Amino acid sequence: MPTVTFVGTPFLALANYESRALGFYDLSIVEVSYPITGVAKEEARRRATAVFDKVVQGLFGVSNEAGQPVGAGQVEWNVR
Amino acid sequence: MNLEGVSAKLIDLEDDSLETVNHLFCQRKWTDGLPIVPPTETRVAAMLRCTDLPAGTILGKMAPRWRPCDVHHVAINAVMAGCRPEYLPVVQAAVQAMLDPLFNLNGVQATTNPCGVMIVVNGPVARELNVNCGFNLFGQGWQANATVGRAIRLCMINIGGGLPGVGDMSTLGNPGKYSGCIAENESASPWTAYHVEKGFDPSVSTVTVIGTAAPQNVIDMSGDPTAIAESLARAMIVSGSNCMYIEGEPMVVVGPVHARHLSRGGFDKAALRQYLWEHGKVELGGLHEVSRNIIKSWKKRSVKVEDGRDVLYVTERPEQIGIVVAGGEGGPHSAVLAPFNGTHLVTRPIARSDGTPVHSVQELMH
Repeated sequence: MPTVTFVGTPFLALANYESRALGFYDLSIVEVSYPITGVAKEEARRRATAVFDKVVQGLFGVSNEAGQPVGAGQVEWNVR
Repeated sequence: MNLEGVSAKLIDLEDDSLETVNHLFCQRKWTDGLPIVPPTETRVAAMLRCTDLPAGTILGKMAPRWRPCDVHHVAINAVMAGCRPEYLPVVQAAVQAMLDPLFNLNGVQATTNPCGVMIVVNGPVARELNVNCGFNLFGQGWQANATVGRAIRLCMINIGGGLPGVGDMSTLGNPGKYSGCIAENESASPWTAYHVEKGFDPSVSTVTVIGTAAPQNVIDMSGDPTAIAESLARAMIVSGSNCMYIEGEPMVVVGPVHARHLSRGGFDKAALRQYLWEHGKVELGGLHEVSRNIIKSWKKRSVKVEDGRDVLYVTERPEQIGIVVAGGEGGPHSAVLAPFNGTHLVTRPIARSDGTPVHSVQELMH
């Protein structure tokens, strides 16, 4: 099933850490600004609109401009 | 001790001084920041003589890195924490309790909440190992408390991957995350011990794990049973507390002085639990609208409509509130341990690998 996971910016390293530990090496991750809790509807809509193209790319497996798959590989994997 | 088949690797160091070992472990982020006892083969083998599980036995996978948690790994971290070998059965039972999905270790480890893990030991093993249940029990000064709690934290770091900013996203943390381990003061309690309430025989020893923020002290100098119960109930659901926002199972640590007053007033644990639940509530109408809406979303199971008003209870049901008696004599203090979201109080017996409880850790030594 095509899946995209939304991850708040401070949690990108954790998302990589955990998705790889669980074997999801190609998990499509879309970064969203954080925090989400308590934001007004207008702000939530603005943030959703800002990542809409990335969600579509992630769901349909479209590569980015550099030819890399959209997903966890875009985030630095720099923990032990 | 045959360590064949275990997954930990040996490191050969030319200079095995304490300074060098600690520098290496700090560099590799294998510590909590404090010096460790080097986990040499000899020390780890001595530790493993206090469990009947063979090295290589996997207890489960530990979040958020989901590494297999081998009893050998647990023994290594217990050595590093400074545990005496006979403490290992308590550490092992606590790890097994944390790995129960009901505990929500992934959440406890990775949340932005300041929660850590508090361990409560009940039964004869608590006395055998001299786990502090009296004066300053949340504080310093007791080898078993300090090192058992620290061993759990080191397991969470080194097996679970709870590194600050990566696997541990706690915004503030709390000092109890270095170590949290107490025992119930069963001899000073007028009531049934916690593990007996949970259906264990008094001769059985248990470990209960709590995913909790730092203990919140509750002082009440009234000496009046109902006033004390009221103070405890109100303290459970104050502004800023985890209990205001998130579902979980709190533990109330009743000091011996408060316990005696409450008992004198006719309270047993069941009656106190019911009182705390009935009075540990707040009308949401007085809160800011945004906060009110978040609470109604995050903690909806505990919001009940009464006379047209939204009322937030500390838990969905009274039986979700844990109560232990602990602390020193002479002070009118108790504490509330406010849980993290979705964490349950999980209790495990200290037992053989076949599940048979032991009455002494000596029974596990070989």
